[in-house]
Amino acid sequence: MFWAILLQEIKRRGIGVVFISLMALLTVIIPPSAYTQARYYEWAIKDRATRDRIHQAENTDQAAVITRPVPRLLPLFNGSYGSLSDEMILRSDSALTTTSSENLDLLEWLFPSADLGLIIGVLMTLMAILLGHDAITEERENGTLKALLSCPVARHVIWLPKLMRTGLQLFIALLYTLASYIMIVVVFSGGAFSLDSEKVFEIGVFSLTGFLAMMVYASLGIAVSTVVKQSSIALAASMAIWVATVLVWPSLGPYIASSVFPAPSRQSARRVIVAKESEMLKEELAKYREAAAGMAAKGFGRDAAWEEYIRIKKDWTVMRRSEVGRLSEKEDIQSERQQINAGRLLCISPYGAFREAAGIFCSTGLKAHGAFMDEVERYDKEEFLPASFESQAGGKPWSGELKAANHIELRSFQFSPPSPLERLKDASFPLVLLLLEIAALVAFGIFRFRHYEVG
Amino acid sequence: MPATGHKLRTDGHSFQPMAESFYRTWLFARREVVANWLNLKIIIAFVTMLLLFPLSAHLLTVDYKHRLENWAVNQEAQNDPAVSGVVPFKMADGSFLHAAGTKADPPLPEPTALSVLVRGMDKETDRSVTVGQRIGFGPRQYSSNLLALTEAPDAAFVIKLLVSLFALFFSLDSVTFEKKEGTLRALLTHPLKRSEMLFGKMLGAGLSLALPFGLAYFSAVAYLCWARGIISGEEELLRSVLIFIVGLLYAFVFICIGLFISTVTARSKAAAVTALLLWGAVVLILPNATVLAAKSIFPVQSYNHLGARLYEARRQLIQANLGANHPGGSFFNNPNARQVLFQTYEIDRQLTDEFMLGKLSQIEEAKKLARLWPAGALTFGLSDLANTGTSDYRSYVDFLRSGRDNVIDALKRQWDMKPEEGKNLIQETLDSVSVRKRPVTPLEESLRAAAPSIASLFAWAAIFGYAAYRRIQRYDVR
Repeated sequence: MFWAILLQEIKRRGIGVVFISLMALLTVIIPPSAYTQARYYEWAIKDRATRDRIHQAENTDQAAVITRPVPRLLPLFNGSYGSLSDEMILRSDSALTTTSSENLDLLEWLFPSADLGLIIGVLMTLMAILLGHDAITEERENGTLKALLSCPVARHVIWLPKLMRTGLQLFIALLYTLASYIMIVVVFSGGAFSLDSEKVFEIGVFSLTGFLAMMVYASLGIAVSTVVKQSSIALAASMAIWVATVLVWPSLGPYIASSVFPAPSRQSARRVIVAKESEMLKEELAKYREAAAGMAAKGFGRDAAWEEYIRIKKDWTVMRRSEVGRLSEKEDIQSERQQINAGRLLCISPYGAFREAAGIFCSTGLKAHGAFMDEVERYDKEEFLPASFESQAGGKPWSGELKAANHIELRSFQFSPPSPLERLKDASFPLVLLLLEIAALVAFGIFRFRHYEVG
Repeated sequence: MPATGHKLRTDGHSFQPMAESFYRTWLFARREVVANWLNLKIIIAFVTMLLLFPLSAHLLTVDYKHRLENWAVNQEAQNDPAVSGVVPFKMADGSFLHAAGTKADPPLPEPTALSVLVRGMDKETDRSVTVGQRIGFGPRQYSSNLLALTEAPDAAFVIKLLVSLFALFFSLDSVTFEKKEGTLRALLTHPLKRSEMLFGKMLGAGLSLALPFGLAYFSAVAYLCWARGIISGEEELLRSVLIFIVGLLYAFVFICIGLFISTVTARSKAAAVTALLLWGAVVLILPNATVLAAKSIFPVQSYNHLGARLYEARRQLIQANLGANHPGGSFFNNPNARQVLFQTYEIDRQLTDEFMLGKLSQIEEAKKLARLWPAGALTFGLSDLANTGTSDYRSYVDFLRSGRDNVIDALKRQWDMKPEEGKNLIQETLDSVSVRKRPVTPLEESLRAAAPSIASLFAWAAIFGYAAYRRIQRYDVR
């Protein structure tokens, strides 16, 4: 009976005016979005390659610049890439890695990227509401609901096919969206974006997350349809919840979190660190003066003096970094706590949960940026500093050679995202939330429908 | 005086028909307002907006205070003494130097007060900036990285999303409902002009929205003025009022769109679905896509790419002109040093100007495209009025460039001065550049900058208003 009702539901409402209009809208919107994302990805890859080439040639034992590789799935979900720095400056004479400027993306603040994440998370969840909100109320208004309820079947056998029909429509729309979007990105990215088995798996998981978010809104629409008696009121109520969770909460949430869990202002933290560095620098300079006087008195040659100088410099560099690291650790912990709480608040909204999961899978979220920063710190400690001091030890500044002699070849900075399974594990919180929300809404909808009175 | 006792215009026509026509329009408007009140639409709009506008004002105020504190600490830190030193190691067979120093972050620009209403490009200008031989932009000063991912929930955000939705909410079923109830047929058989009915509905929907919108918006402004003291001064208040007026015009666009859809569709549900899809496309997706399209059509290298090119160009210039070997000691001992340095200044200036002008052109093209859509026109218009727009950013960039040019001039002049005088000149120039205040765009200029956006909104309202008028004129009563 269940399958018969499902088939009937698909035949009657599978291809309606609303579904066709939505597919037409997607057909209009996908090409410009996908094309612009393809071009943006091509630009990002070329830009980064040029910068990397220049930095590789220009890195010295005093300073080196590390650039973050462009995330492979950037055209699907831009996330925080472009908003946060993808370059770090390592300096041998400073305790801090310096964030080089993020790109001057002047319009990003006014108009967030129109990527696949926006199409799925905003447009297609709206689609889910429009397809599901009148599942019960329309039948009631048409008078067919009474006949349906008079059949000798359990009510959930009538309710569930409606959800499944909506799910099937959304699945077809999602497949269509993905296929056309990815095809356009592959064709117009100048070869920068290509498909391999790992990428296909990642796209599959990304799509599954999007589908879950859409199903939350489909379940919501049908559940609301079970509660109210008129289609127009069901639409208004579903839309109100959609606006609140897709448009309003993702913007309000982080601001609420940053006011409830405040982190110290960046300049306050910097001032404390600079004060500490200044204090240590005074001691360091005094130490150098003492050493210089001592070596001159003992009749050191320049080579021996240089060797001793490099040893002192290395010790002081390690000490300064350790002290400054201790100071910034407290600020880092507070910032991380704020970020975690803000992330959790955001996940209350299904769209927020989708964005969080998408950021993890596409390595464009805050977590990936944090992992990049950790890798930079490790690279600084294990690669740059030792290579820098080795180069400086071999330097002969009294010989009159130009700075080009200070160029160092560093091992290429490697930063790969965690494996797909590890990312799946990281994204378990938002994914589980989405599943729970679907389950709760379905349970609520079925419960209400059991007690539904047609009269 | 004619027998009727009505005043005559000098051309001999009576005022009466016009006054009566206006009165009938007003009756329709009043009918709409009363209907919207009785079906609770006005109350729902009022409660929602009264919740969101003050909440938005409060959250943006907390954020503004945080930025202001950040800026104040940064300003204080500029007076912290810089620690530096040079230690010579003089041995019998050679010598070398150790030089080190540390200093505070470069100065930040002061946050704009009206960014609590319209954040605009204030998010982009919230960076430390070094103005010297070149303009160096530091990283953005987020209080939390998560804020990098989200649109600021400012008043412009609430207007863009919610006011437009409520405008549709008020106007969408004003004709379809009458069609469904059968009252439209009855109305149109009366000897009244169809345009009076339509304009009455437009006015009614507009008043129904303007009341809750106005009350909620100005309660937020009052909070910012009296409770927080952020908005003070006549000009800021006037700008706040202008922001409201443009917001109302934007709402009117969607009232016209809603009415047009209402005249085209037969059922409320079809009208709602069509309106929502159109709203989603026109407010959420298309303005964003046109901006991204402008970035693809007019690509500009990234800022870090510029940095890398500058570094490479400078090094190549020095290498090429000074040769592989030069007399030991300072670079300045080389006879070509002056010429090489002047060339590096010019390279820095040229490459940076090319980049900034490229970026500004990109914004202008994106602005032209995005303004074609109501949400794009609203965003640019409101940010221009709040001093956080692209025209303000352009004058900020020009301000930085003039500072940079002053420093380069001083760097060149110092070569013809005694070392001590030259050093003082550089220090004075750097000090004078760092204490300059960012210019504030005057109100007239802001209005001029916002004018095309306002014109775009008028055009949208006129197009859909006229389309609705044509539809209702041709509506077949039978």
